[in-house]
Amino acid sequence: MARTKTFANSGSLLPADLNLMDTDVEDILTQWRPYHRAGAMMITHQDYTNKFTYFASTTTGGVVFTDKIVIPGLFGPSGVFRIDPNDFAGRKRRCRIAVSYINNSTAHPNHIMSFGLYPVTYGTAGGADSIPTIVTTSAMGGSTARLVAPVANGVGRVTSGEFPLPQKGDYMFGVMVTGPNENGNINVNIELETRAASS
Amino acid sequence: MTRVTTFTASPDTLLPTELNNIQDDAEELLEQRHILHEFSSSGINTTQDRYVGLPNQNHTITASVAEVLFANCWFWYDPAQWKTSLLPVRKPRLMLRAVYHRGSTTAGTSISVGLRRIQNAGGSTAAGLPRVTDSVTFTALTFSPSDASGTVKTTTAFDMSGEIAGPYAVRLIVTGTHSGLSWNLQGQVLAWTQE
Repeated sequence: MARTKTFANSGSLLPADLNLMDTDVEDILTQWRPYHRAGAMMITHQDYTNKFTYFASTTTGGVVFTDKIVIPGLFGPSGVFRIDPNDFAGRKRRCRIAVSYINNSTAHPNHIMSFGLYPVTYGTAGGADSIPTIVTTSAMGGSTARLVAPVANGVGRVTSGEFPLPQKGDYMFGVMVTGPNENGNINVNIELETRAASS
Repeated sequence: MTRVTTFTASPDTLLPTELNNIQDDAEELLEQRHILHEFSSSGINTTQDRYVGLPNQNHTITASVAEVLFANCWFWYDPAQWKTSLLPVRKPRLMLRAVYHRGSTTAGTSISVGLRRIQNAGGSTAAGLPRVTDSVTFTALTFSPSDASGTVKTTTAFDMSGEIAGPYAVRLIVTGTHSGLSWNLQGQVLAWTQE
């Protein structure tokens, strides 16, 4: 067990000792830790001007982009996950989106990929045998991580700024892509990370 | 909020044991392990060489260079996210753990599963898929085909303090003849911080 100092009845307690202990605890509480992850192969060698897709947590193969931020049919893994602030006792929590990527050998000089955390609502089912629908509108404020013009054979990670732990509800990861066909295919992992707010 | 002790202005309430308990509490928090990556793979009479992720997200490796088809075959790890600022130095740690199940046949060669750091191998065609290859190899787990179903094996705790941030993956290698051997392997990569 690693202590900054092991105390005994020796009169060795100094203010600096208490400050070190406090700093230690602060370090631990404020480290970013993984909360939820999803990933997929983004096939971007098409015209993706203002296209959107979401990420199912067990997506196999490429994701499918749509023209609008409405998921028309939910059949198979949805990628929706629950966030409940009651899971975190104590201090307020902070969040960020972290996107790691491995690109193919084609640069994307004109692509901007904006990944974000999207709140989800559930649409009304249609007639018999209809597929359930989930709906999202826009990314949570502050949750956008932008991957701008990834280079050929690029490997890296981009993060959003910090944003507060969202209110209780269902969420999923999504990305809005702008740009023309650039023969690029990029493999991404998206993570929601959380930590305690600095005191 | 549950404290070890709530101190007051009375100096008599401050005991060395209580301060040590506070530090031990902090250490417990650091040493809690987090699941960074999960994988599962299975085979019948097959040789395999794959980066493995969640079910159906494996990808076969050809001549040590793979096309990355499924994102969850790899994960990002940054040792700096798992360090503390004070002495004693606590090191970022990773560990691989897997459980093996098999059918009734015990023939064949060993099944190896190990942590790798990977890198972009380049060389994909236009509109092709990105390709990766191993960069750093960590000591693997090895299962014998005759290991009992339910056998769990764990690597030592890897000291990651000398490693860099980047993509990591779990590579599964099955070689040789497997006459009638059916098996399933499931596992996790765990991250924590420890002296």
